Amino acid sequence: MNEIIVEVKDLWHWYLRGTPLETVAVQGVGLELRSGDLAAIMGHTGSGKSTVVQHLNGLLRPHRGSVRVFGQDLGDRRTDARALRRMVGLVFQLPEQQLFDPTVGDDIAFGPRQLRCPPEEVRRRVRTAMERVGLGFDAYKDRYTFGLSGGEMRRVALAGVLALEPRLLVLDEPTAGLDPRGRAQLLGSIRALHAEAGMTVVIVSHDMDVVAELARTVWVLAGGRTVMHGGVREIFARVDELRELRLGIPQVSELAHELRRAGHQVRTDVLTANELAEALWTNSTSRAG
Amino acid sequence: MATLGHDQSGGARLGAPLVEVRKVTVAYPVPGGGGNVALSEVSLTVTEGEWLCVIGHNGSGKSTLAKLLNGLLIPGRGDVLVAGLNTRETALHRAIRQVVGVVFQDPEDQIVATLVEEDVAFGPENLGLARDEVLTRVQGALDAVDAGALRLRAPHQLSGGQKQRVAIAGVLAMRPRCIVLDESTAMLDPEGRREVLDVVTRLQAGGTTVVQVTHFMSEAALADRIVVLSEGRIALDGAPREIFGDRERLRALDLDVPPVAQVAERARALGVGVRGLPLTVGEFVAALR
Repeated sequence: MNEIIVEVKDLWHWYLRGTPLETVAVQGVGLELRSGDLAAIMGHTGSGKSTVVQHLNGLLRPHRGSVRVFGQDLGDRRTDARALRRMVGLVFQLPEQQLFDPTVGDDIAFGPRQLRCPPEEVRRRVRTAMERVGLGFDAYKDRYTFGLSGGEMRRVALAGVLALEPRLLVLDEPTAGLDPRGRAQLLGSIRALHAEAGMTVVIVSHDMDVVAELARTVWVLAGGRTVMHGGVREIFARVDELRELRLGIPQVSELAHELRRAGHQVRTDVLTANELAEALWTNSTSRAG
Repeated sequence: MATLGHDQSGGARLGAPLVEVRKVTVAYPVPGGGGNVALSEVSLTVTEGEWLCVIGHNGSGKSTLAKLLNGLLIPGRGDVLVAGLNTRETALHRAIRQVVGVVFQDPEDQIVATLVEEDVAFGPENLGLARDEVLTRVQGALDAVDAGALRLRAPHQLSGGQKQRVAIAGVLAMRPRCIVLDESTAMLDPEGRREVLDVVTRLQAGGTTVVQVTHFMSEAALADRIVVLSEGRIALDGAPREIFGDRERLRALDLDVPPVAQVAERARALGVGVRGLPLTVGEFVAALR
């Protein structure tokens, strides 16, 4: 087993704590991520998933319970959250809204320059980051940032985080609002970051199709608690529980379940169109035989 | 649902042209000179009562088209006629916006008041309607989106789906004959998306014309008609079955069929008997021999 890099135990967090408007956002979340994981945290709006994620790089500190990231205890006020932020890259929802430099290369270089990297190191990091997200360095570095497509701008934003060379990458709703092509390219980049660059990746999403396509392990939050945890296949087979949590399931899983309900003996732990087609074929041949 | 009672002055005639886009070209200025052509010689008629989905990649001109439909954007060349009124005539904008209302991607961009009922009342109050008439419209609009219980809530306390339904109610309170949804489900979780789609289905059944810009092929499959935009031109225009049946054209446009149709296609390639071209889960179950 790989080393544990994130360990969240019985985490509690309140907003507007100590005021009449105090609300509890997270009440007893536990989760664990190991080096090399490709995990998803899913949950309905208001489930607490964004609050949990903001603990992973010290933007929020635990009010109760513990959060340890790369061995550092976030509950300890002396822990340097800034140092942690170099190891944990957080890509927010619609990160392209945070782009500010008119030139693609300079926008991505902002982070490494803030870290006072020497110019040749900045250049190396920008080049590597751009290539990791499928934006050719020479083709894109001098392009006008705000003339790019939505999918390209999102990849620039991701490259800006990668240029900090984090060891753990956390992406909040990475494909929201992207068109089918932008979505496929971004998912491809994330997959490659995990498989080729060895990055540990966590996505936060309520898009079940994205989770099914990308993640290996899944943590499901509801009402500020961890309610399910397991392999992606195992989680999406628990369709009744997911429906009860108002989460829905990937279209392909839904179809498999409906077919089963209609009397077809197909596997329901399928995640892709190909898998379901094969399950239908297996079923038809076993009937014929 | 409550009857919305379209503004009868124009007289809703199902099947008659409601919006006519005539040879429209739109170019946005680009820094450094020249223009970025968003739409090029596009002609399109939206028929009263239909549910039209517009799909295409980012940059294909979808949002530009949506903004043309009620005069938020005036074409560089060509004309847009809304119930016979030319959007070039600034003096007609008030009348035009009572015929066509637009709902955007992010409900935060279009909610203006601190109470739901005040927000929904904003439009009718600006029309200078009597207090009783405003109240009737607000109640009718909130009932239509199943949000009567939210009347006295603050918009910031609502979920994404609830906010988007309130934004739709704000448009419905103007009693438009046509509602344009510009990726209005893109930011929502599965439940929010279902809520909004349910509202759209009911409105359309009640006679409202719906123009929906979306990236979700499973949503487009529910429409009466699909228009595919590519590089500022109409590439395909037809019923969902025709559009999704033309696999070669779709592939050339880098678009895909809904997940259910992908399963059908792959299952058939393996020799499993699936009749026709199922686009929804229900259709697939019925199509499997």
